[in-house]
Amino acid sequence: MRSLMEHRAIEPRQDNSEPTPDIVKRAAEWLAHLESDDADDADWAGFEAWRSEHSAHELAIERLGGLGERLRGGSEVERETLRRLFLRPRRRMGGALLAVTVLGGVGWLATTRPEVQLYFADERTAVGEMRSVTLADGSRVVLSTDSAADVGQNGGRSVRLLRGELLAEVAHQGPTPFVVQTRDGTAEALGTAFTVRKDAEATLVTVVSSHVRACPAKSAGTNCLTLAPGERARLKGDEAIRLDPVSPSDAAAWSEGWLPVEDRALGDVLAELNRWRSGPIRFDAAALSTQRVSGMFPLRDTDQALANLARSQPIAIDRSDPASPIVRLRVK
Amino acid sequence: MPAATATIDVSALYALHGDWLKAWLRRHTRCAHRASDLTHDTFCRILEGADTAPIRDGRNYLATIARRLVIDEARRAKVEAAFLDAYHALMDGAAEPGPDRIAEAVSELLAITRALHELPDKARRAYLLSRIEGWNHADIAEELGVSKSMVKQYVAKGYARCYAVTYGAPRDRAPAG
Repeated sequence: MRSLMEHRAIEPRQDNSEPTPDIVKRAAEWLAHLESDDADDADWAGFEAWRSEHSAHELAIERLGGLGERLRGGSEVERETLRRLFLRPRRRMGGALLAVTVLGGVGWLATTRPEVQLYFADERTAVGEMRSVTLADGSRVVLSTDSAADVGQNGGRSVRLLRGELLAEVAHQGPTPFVVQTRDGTAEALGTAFTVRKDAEATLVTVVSSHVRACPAKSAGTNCLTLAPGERARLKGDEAIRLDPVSPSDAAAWSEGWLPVEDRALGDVLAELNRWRSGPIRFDAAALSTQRVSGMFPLRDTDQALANLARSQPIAIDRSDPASPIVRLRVK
Repeated sequence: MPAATATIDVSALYALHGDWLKAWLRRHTRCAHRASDLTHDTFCRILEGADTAPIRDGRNYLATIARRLVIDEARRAKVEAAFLDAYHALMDGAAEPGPDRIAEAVSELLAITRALHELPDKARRAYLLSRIEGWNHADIAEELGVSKSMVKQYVAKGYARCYAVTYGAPRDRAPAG
């Protein structure tokens, strides 16, 4: 299907015929308006007048129109691919969520799901599991390994993380703020994506994109920090402490099944892999403390991750118990 | 030596760390051929100036870019799998598409996918329902539970994102004079 493939040749143009952001925005609004049913003859006349006003307007319309046609005029296989990637999975999840919302009084949850009764959590993941939940407002929450959360409280924009870690992708700004809460504090979305991780002692908030306001639980709304992409805060008691920033793309790499590691202690990395394993890797953190690791490790196959580590680190793996290998420093 | 420099000496970087990067990628992709390709892509990325972060540590810097490429690869695999599923679902019993057809379609779909990933969920769905399903705005509004004027904004946003991915983000003109 060639038409989808052929990008319009971009000829060198006079500088002032190159559309500015405002022109592109206006042109996109025109096209969206014209394809709605509200457009009347006066609108079409207005559009034609705007379009012929300036060569940059003309070019923006021409390019945007071409892009729209690439999708609509493309082959059915490409359209079906996009449906499979973006439209279908969402709808299925939305349906599942609706069922829980309709049936989901505490009584129902308590009688039908004993593990929920135990933890009072709407959503739980087992060790090594990861699950995506779409909320009623279109926001998405991805629960990491061994995590539990109550989702969709307060009109759907409040999540209570009971344990483990989650990635929140906030659909849009609404009248109600989107908040993730733990015992240690709250993270309120001022934008789109961030992760919250609840450990035994404290809660770690990391921003993937846009901004988040992080507040410790016991400070009555003071001591809050506003975090930018890659910035992290540790919440505990009445304190919010700013930690060293990380790469924003790394912050949520686990949700794609990867553990990015940049110059970290080997013991830390093994502990991180253990969060995804039911049979832990056994090791002596002190003995491994001098080894530093960089790399990218698959979380869906932590045995493979361990094998990768063994190739770059002077370690020996004892697999006499395959479910729970032992890692030792190799003696030279 | 300064901690950070504005320009990146790519050939020095390659001489110092090229082999290491190839080995690193071989470990992480488990395929020598892909590792070579990705090493090449990593240095291309630097030459294109897509990544101009100051280099404190050459290896970490290269690993950061290479890691992003590995994730891109994973995304490409996902798109390719969805394309083949769609192909078989629609062309029941037809022969496998040729490698050229797959490569062309996947690279095009990846560009669209990149634009769509940057849209909020509802805007993405509104744009797709309008552009690939040909739904009218009233139906989309009902499906998404939003107003028709909201749908219009979503569709406009979708157009603008696709524009930026295809033609580069539009820039404001320097004032004349």
